[in-house]
Formats: sequence, structure tokens, C-alpha cells
Amino acid sequence: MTDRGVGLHPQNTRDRGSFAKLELLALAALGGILFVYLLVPFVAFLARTGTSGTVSGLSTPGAQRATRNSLLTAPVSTAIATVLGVPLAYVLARRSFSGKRLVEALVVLPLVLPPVVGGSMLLTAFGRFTPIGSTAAGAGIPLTDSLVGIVLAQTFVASPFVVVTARAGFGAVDERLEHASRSLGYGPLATFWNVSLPLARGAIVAGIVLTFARAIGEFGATMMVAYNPRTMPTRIWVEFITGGIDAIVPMALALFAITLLVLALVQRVGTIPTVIDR
Amino acid sequence: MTLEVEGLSHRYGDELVIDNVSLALESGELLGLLGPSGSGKTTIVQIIAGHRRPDEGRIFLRGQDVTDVPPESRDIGLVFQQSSLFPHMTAGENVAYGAATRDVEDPPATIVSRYLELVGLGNEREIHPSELSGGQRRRVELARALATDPDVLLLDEPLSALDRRLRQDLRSEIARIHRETGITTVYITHDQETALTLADRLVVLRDGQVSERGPPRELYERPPNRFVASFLGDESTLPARVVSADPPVLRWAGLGFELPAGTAVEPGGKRSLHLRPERISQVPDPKQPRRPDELASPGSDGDLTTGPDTTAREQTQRKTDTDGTITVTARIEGLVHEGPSTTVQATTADTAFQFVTEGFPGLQVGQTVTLGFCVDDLFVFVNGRRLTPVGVEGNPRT
Repeated sequence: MTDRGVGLHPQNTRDRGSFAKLELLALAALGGILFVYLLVPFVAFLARTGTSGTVSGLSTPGAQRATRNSLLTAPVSTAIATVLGVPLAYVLARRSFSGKRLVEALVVLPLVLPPVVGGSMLLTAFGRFTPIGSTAAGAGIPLTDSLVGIVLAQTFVASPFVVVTARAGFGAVDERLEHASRSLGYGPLATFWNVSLPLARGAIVAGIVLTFARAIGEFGATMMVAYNPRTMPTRIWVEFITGGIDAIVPMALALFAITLLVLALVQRVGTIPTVIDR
Repeated sequence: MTLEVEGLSHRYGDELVIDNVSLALESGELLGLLGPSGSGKTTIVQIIAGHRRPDEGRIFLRGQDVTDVPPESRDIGLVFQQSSLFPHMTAGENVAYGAATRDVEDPPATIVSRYLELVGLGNEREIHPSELSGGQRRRVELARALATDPDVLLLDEPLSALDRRLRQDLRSEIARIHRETGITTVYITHDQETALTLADRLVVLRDGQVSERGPPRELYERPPNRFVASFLGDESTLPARVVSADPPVLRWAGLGFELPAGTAVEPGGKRSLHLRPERISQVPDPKQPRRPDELASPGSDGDLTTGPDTTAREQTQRKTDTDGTITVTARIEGLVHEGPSTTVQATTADTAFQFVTEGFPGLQVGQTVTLGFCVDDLFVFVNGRRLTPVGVEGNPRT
């Protein structure tokens, strides 16, 4: 009785082992299908590239202007989203207040909203003929069809990434650590800076990278708010209309390279400690 | 008074978790705040530390009302139930973090060394918390809290996550540190052993209310109510029945226990008599011839015993009706060996007894033993009052 209860028959164990393997294999197969589906277009697209064509395609004045505009606007949008979004994420992770649900819903809205619609909404609020838009334009800072307009569009669409990710990061920081810091004589701000921020750093950095990638690739909202001056995505669209797939390969590769570079840099600079010791 | 808590009440939603709790600690005192889980201990700690605002009540530190003062300005050291060391700092940096807020002329490095050495971790300065053992982490936390030189130290079940051996070691360590630093301390625990060992004074909490307060020994030996009696220690419960109201008499196992005159009891009602394990001793079978030294009476520490001493018990053992010593025969149901002592569970027809013997007593489950105890050690709670039978009559049903 005891024997049968405790030890499995060897034959039984082997059966169970092979069943477990089979089950894992089924999961791997499902994942594999998705992997292949993601890989195939990638390879097909890269197969179109010729090095000489890429370099010459990027050296035209128009391409250089678009690259410069993107490299100017996306970091600014990311910085704005981070500086304003991380504190919001912290408040959402730590405090409960009336209307919090509404705030949370609004923050993720741009994630689920089609960017084109987001862009239209921005136009209705800050467009040239709105009070805010006309005032700004009168002061020499047009909010549409300008670099500022691009930043507005990018920030609107991309900022949820840093808020959502940083919020999860702060949520994973044990609140007792903050209480400990307070009881050791540090105020809320010093505690945020010394304890919460360093411990949530991994998540925040991940959020910043995602936000930057989204901002530099932003097309839908940018197209509505600031079709000119061109950014890399809007230029890709224009070139696709006029020259087809092959025309956009250089710019697409450049965009891809920038994102990869940022990701690599960030991973180098920040030794991302995501696991919080408990 | 170093710390005073006045009329504290707190609700979570509709639930009243703290109900008018008041505490007062004199300088250097170690107060044990004892209660089962859910009795509101941790909420009280959070309120005293300033991490939670009470619905009602005031907190005074050295006479100053700090109820509205944020935690960073309270001079209260806090050690949590689970590790709250900063994982991104070394042990030394953790201690320095608190030490840095002290306005003293000593450089933080000196303070760090002093307090790490106080807790016996002078060499672990550069180690990160994740590489420290559970016990070492507790020590670093203690050092970190002490390094701020707080007015009051709050220890919220600091040992509950440790295994028994480590708990005992750290308990004596905490007692030593308390002696050396003389810091006013509130020690929160649900472990009666820790509370009885460490505390100068105990406050027993029940459902957010102070059930009783007093010195540990007094609460243990003369528990004022049933909750404190059962929470502070093991007890055997003798289910008795009221057979007469005037004079008030309880009957258990064929014996009549007379309660003090005037005790209001209803005939037919149930009342249980209680008995601490160390007040029960195993006695040789009365039917067998015996030598005087055969009488085992562990736990009858001369200092603590209020009943007749061993010799008296031996001579008068059978005369249950006059001298108050009762013997019963019980069957052993279980043995818990704790090394130096063994807790024995033995039952009669209606009563589960629990008593303690020294070492491994050589008893076996299923074996029959004769137990002896004194009527003076029995207690019963009637209308919230603790009473001891004034007399016993009849023969034990065995």
C-alpha cells in the first residue's frame, strides 16, 4: 500500500515523462507558427535590399531632412512622456483616489485608439482654428504642420507605454521598503528618488525604450497633425505612394537601425535589475 | 512617558479593526503587544509609525502630539515582519541610509560600524541583502533601525519568519541589545513564548481591543479571562456542569467542585475548569505499592507552585475529598518530544489532559497513566471573573 503510494512504477514514470514532453512540444509548435509568421516578412523585406541603393537612398536631401526631424522629435517626445509619465505611473501605483479608474482608462486610451483617430482628436483640440492653436500660432509656435506638432502627435500616441510599464515596475516595489525609508527619516520625494525609482529602474527603462520606438515610428497621428515637415515614417509613406516598396527600403532600414541602436545602448548603459529581492 | 497611545480607533471600511486602544511606555521599557493574527497588531504599528492615519486617537512621543507628524519626522525605528532591506544597497549602505539622517558629529561610517558590530555583523558590511541569511537580514534591519537613534523601536513580529532555532538565538540577541541600548521598545508578536520571554509588560489584544495588560508572569499564572488564559499558554479543559446554584457547585468526573459562595451560576449549565500543563503530574498507580521517590512531579517548580508540594501530595494523594489533590486515570493519546521536555496528551472519557514531563519519559501511546493535580490550580471563568474552587468532594471516576 505504502509502496504504491510513494514510488511510481518505473514504466509509469517513463510514460508520464514522454507525455509531459509531448505536451510541451504542442505548446512549442503553436509558438513556432507565430515565430515563422513574424520571420517570413522580415526576411522577404530584407531580401530586397542592396547596400548601394540604401546608402544613396538615404543621402538625398529629403531623406536627410526626414531623418533629422525624426531624430529631433522622437527623443523630445520620449523625454516629455518620461518626465510627466513616470510620476503619473507612481501615483497610479501607490495612491487610490476618486476618479482613478477614469485616469487609468484615459491613459491607455491612445494604445487602443487608431492613431489616425488620435491625430484627428488632437486637431480638434489644438488645430489651427481652435483657440489654443490660433493663439500659439499667433505667438509664432504653430501647433500643426511643425516640429512641435510632430512632438504633440508622438507624445500623445507613445506616452502610454512608459506610464503602463513604469506603473507595473512601481507596483512590484514592495511598499514596505518605502515605509522603511520614510521611517528612516526620508520624505516622500527623497524616498521616491532613493528607493522607488532605483528599484523600478528596469521597468522604467523598458518603458522608455518602448516609448521611443513607438514615437520614432509614429505615422497615423503625425500624418494628421503635421504631414509636413516630414519625419521618417511620413516620408516612407510618401515614397511608397510614388515609388512602391523598393523606394522605401532604405528609409525603413534606417528607422529599424535607429531603434535597434537605442535598444542596444540602453541595455549597455543600464544594467537592468528587474528582479526585486524579497 | 516615552510613547503614549490614547484612544486609538481605526476602521477598514465598515470593519472596526482597532477599538479604543491606549498604551503607555516608560523610557527603556519593552512592551509586548500580543494577539492572534487579525487582532489589529500590525495596524497599531503602522499608526504609531505614521504610515497610517488613525480614525480616532492621538499618539504622543516624549509628550509631543505626533498624530499629524509624517513618519520621517517621528524618530521611530521600525523593523518589519519580513525583510525590508533595500536590495540595491549593501548591508553597510542600508545602515548608513538611516544613520545619514541623524544630526550627530559622528561620520556615518563610524555609526555603521558601531551598529553592525552591535548586531554581530561587523564583517558583512559589503554584502548585499540577497546574499545574507534570513537571520543576518533581521540583524541588519535591527542595526539600520537603531542607527537612527530612535526614541522608540517598533518590532513587528521580526522573528516569525525564522525557524525555531534561529528564533531562539535572535530572541536572546534582541534581549541583549535591548539591555545594552536601553531603547524603549514595542514588540509585536502572536507568539506567547517570545512575549513571555522578552516583555517587561504585556498587552493582550483581541479583535482590536485590549483584552488585558500586566506583567507576563501574572497574566500567565492568574489569567484574568478565558481568552488570555488560552492564548498565553496551553491548558487542559475539564468540561463540568453546574449541579447546584446555592452553594454553587460544579460536577466533573463524579467530583463536586464548590465555587466561592455567591457565585452566580445556573443549575444545568456548562462551565469548564482549566488547568495549566505544568500543574499536572504523573503519579504512580495508587493501586500499586510505591516508593516515595517514584513520584514524578516535573514542572512543580518550588517557586511557582501554589498548591501543596510533592511530599504533601504524595501523602495525601488518595484523600481527594479533604486536601484537594485529585488523581485520575487517563490514556495517552499523543506525545510531543521537544528534547528537554515532552508534552503528553492523555484523555479520560470526557477530558483531554495535557502535561509536561522531562526528557523522553518512556511513555507510549495507548498506555494508561495516573495523573495528579491540585484543586487550587484549577480555574474557572464566571461572568468574566476568574475563580478557583474552594473545595472538592466525592471520589474520582476513573
